[in-house]
Amino acid sequence: MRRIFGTVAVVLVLVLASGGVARAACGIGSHIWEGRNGAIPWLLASTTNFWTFKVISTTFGLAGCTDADNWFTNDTDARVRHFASNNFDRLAEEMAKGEGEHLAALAHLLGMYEQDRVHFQGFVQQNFSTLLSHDHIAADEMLTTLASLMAEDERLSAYVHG
Amino acid sequence: MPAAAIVRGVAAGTSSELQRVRVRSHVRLALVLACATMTPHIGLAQMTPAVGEPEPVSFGRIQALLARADERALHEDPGWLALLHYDRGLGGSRHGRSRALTKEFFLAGDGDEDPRAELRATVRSFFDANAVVKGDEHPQCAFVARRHWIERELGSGAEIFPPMTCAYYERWRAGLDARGLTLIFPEAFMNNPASMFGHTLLRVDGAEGADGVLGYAVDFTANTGGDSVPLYMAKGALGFYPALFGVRPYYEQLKRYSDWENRDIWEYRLNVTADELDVLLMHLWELRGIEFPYYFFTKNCSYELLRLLDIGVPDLHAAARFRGPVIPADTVKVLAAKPGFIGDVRYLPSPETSLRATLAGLAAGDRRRVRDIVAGRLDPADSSLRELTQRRHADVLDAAYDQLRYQYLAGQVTEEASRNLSRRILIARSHVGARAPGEAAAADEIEAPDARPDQGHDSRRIALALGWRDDETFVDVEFRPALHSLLDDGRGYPEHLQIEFLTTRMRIYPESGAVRLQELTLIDMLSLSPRSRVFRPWSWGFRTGLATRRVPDRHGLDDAAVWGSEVDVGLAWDPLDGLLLYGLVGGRFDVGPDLDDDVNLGPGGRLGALLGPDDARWKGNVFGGVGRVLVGETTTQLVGGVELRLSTSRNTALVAGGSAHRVYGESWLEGRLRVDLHF
Repeated sequence: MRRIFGTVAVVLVLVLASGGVARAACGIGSHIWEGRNGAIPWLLASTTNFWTFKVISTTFGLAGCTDADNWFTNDTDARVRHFASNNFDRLAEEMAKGEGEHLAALAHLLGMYEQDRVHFQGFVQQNFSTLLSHDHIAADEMLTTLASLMAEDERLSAYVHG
Repeated sequence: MPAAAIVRGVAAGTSSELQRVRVRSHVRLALVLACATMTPHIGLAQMTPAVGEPEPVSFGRIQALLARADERALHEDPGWLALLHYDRGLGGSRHGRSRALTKEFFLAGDGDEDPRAELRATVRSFFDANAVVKGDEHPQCAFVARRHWIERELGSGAEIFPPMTCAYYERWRAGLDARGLTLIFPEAFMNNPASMFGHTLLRVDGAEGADGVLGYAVDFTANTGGDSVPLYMAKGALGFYPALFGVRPYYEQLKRYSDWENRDIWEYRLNVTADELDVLLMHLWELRGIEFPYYFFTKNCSYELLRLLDIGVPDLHAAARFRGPVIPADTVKVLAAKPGFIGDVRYLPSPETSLRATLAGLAAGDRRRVRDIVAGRLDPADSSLRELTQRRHADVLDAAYDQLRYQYLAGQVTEEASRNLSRRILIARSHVGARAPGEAAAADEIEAPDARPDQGHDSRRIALALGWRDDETFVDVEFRPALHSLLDDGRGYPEHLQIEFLTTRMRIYPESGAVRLQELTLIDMLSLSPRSRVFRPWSWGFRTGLATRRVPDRHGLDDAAVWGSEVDVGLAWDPLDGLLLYGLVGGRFDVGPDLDDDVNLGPGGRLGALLGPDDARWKGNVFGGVGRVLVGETTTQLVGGVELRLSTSRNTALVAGGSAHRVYGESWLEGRLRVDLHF
């Protein structure tokens, strides 16, 4: 009898546990504030020789990846790319619609003044097929295209430098 | 190209296998975090205190401060004990001991059990120009909240320690640029045992424009390494995992809970003052890299967040409200109970919720167009779509993109297959132009449920029932520590979800005076997700615990205690609003000394209909079940019945039920009237 109960207990635990798939949960499962080294090659991808964003605000970037000594970096360019890579699907959708929370966040990260926001939204919508020019595009390439397109725009050229 | 795919593409190259992509995304996330939270290597030169080497002067000042601290027994102050995370429940001295596991958190060798020694060591180190902790920080910079607290208590807020520039801390604060605080509550997620009660995290919001998705999420999570699920459950319950506070971009968290796990999210703006937020962040800084034991049921993410809030908001006293299990939604209720503490509340439907609502709002013809686009039968740039009004045209393309994205995230469409199509949908959409000002997209018009999670019924329930079985009457007394059944008032809870934990039911027979433990269910879960053309989720149920079965003995049927378990998988449909049909099949496994050969094993199934919208005052369940015992004393078990619940208030309800049973060739009827009280 006892053996049966023991077996059952094991089976039950297994069955009970089989419901679990992903670990990200209330508390259990992620790594944070750990690891004291390591760099992210994809974030380091350089945009030299291309247009880059001229961000004049005091917004600080995340992740001292380009500057290993900083917890936060003021390399906003890195933060823009981190944001765009992480939210590319939402961002692309909102660029096509010409509105949305993520698009507004991108404009904010680019340091855009309120009076240029609506123009910016229409601008990315009109240039959408150029911005997403092929099926295998990644966020970095899209941003580079965006910067070069903005450089040609009378109102938006103020936000990029060559 | 699918936006979803685009993103994955970045992380995973051309991999088209979802699982792999996800794993790699996770790795990438970990890397980001490692990077984001890297300890800076600022040389000590930058930290050199402005004061030189005033040893003799400070010796006298230190002695005077320590004497004043002793006079006032400052080390016994609840504020000091809270900063050190002392917990009386842990034994040790009469103050208890600290829950922090990391030695670096203490400046005195026995600082984790002697708050006075820790206070004295802290004060001394703050004067020591050469002191270094946590690698390369001066104690004043590593323990900014302690410095602030001691100065407030002993110096009335004036600076009493040698001035110190904390470049590293200041940069962190400047990066956060904190202006506001929001509590985030992702609803229960049934496919992960650790998420079934929901989850809470905090978000530090920046200035206008840098709030919302650009805010920073603060959470308390454990590192489970690569443990198998059973081990992870056991260790999680028993506190074997060390956990830490973490800070990372909110958009990463949003993607995980919303996109990957399809959980509806509630955002509660908290009304904290700038000073309160300041202190809270000072302490959060101190907790960087400090480990605590993680107890899944008690000292969990939600509990530790309350402790953090308590430190910032002195009159909150939220954590003290919890002694035993901490259910995330209950912590939201405690915060909501403080008048004016909760400001605006925002509901963020998951992609699934959003898509279901959007599709339901479209005309049948437009729904078909969406389907055709996603299936590749209709070109998103097709001229027939241009004949629609601009608004409908936009709605159709928006829904098509959302549906494709949902199917991609659900693993129903490969990345490769969705790349080209989703890009074509979006290009077509960009040609439709912007919506008219003030005209909301269909997806943005989804109304939040009537009740928020903090407005749902309370977690615990006691019930008293009067019932009869054939001509025998009985009284049931029931206690359920958590949380929600299908029949309970659904307001504030995810739809069609049942999570019952440790339900205990005593049955008393007044005539004979007999009392028996009728039921002690360890866990009873049921997740019913309606299917449609687009949504194809499985429904499932699992139940295990001590139960009462009727088995044959010399005098006919008699009650017998068994450990009974059921596992079912099936389907559900919602053909009408307020009607959910479900059918599940699976296995039944009973073990008990009164059973023939101790075991009953066989297949079984259940089906039923849930009547009444989730937000109504009433709900009904018509159900039937069948089980065939193959191993053990062979029989067919049948049950069928109906239950009806009427809520009389948020926390009280009346339930009436009747059922017919047949087993071992004998049949009987049961009826019950029950009063429920949630508390």
